[in-house]
Amino acid sequence: MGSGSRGRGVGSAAVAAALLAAALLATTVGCTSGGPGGVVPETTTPQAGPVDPLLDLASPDYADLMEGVRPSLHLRGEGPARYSIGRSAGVREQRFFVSCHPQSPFRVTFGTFYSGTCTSHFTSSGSIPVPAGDGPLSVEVDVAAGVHYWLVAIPVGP
Amino acid sequence: MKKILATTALVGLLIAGGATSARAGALPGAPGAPGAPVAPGAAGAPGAADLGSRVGASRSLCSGGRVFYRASHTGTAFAQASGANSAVTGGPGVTLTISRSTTFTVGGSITSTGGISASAVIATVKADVGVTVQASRSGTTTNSGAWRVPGNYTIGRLAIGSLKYSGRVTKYLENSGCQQLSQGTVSYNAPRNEWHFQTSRVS
Repeated sequence: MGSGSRGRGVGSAAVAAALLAAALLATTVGCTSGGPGGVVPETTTPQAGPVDPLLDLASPDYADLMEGVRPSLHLRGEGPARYSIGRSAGVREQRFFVSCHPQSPFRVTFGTFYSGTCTSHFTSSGSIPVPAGDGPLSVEVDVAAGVHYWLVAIPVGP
Repeated sequence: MKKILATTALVGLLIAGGATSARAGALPGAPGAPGAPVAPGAAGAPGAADLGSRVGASRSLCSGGRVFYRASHTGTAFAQASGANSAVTGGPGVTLTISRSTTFTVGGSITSTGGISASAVIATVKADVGVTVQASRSGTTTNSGAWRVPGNYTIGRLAIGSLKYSGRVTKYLENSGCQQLSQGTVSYNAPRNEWHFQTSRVS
């Protein structure tokens, strides 16, 4: 069995989760592309591409189930890019989930950084403290050109 | 005087007879009786742990033909699961987690030769070393191994894998003279039957 494969399948609940994810997508705030890559205006997940982490997180079949999450960033992109997140009172950290394809390194910088290796389903996460200061916050996604990804940031309160 | 001597002789004969009867009363094969079968590993059984003490044992305790195993442990080392996604890195203050829904694999080797089966190796290592190993380990984790990179690190790294135990297992045959004759040895380098998270400072 290869490393990084799914331990659980996405069951019928994924359909409901997809609807939830679509609804959440509409609530995404403060996303602006500032790099050579950027947001791909497509809300469906291609078969061979990365899978939206929110679909996994909302699935009861998934061990890392997170219910009722409201992401501060939820987007699909390609290549390196930079996005902004507005500051919110009481948000101490942003927890980032990344799925990307094909396999290559990825890095998310938000003051400091979290990095790993691309997999179609996310296999890790990094909770990064919100940088001190005022004004908008910048999130940089560093992947090779041509790499497709989903990026989700979930605010973590005090 | 003759009467006293005769009485003494009679009492002696009775005592001797009683003792003989007492010995004869022990059932052959009953627990504790000479020649009774003893389960390997049972208390008092000539298992691996008391190999040295058995060398000087009474010959009457060995029926011969008994096979047993003994494991030696030479080292333990962390083995990261295969696949680059089994490790993540982050800057100071970042909490790294690994998904509990991801299947990871750690390979191992248990050489099954000389009439020593892999199952015998696993059972012997469990008895003598105290850990349960597998030829290889694959599955999901029950916790995420969440770890916050310390503030004095520039880069921290979280990896999932397993502790691999290495050593040898020897098969012995005990003959009727209570001599333990080696029948062969195999090596093992196998992961423990549980996941292990390793944290490290990259810089």
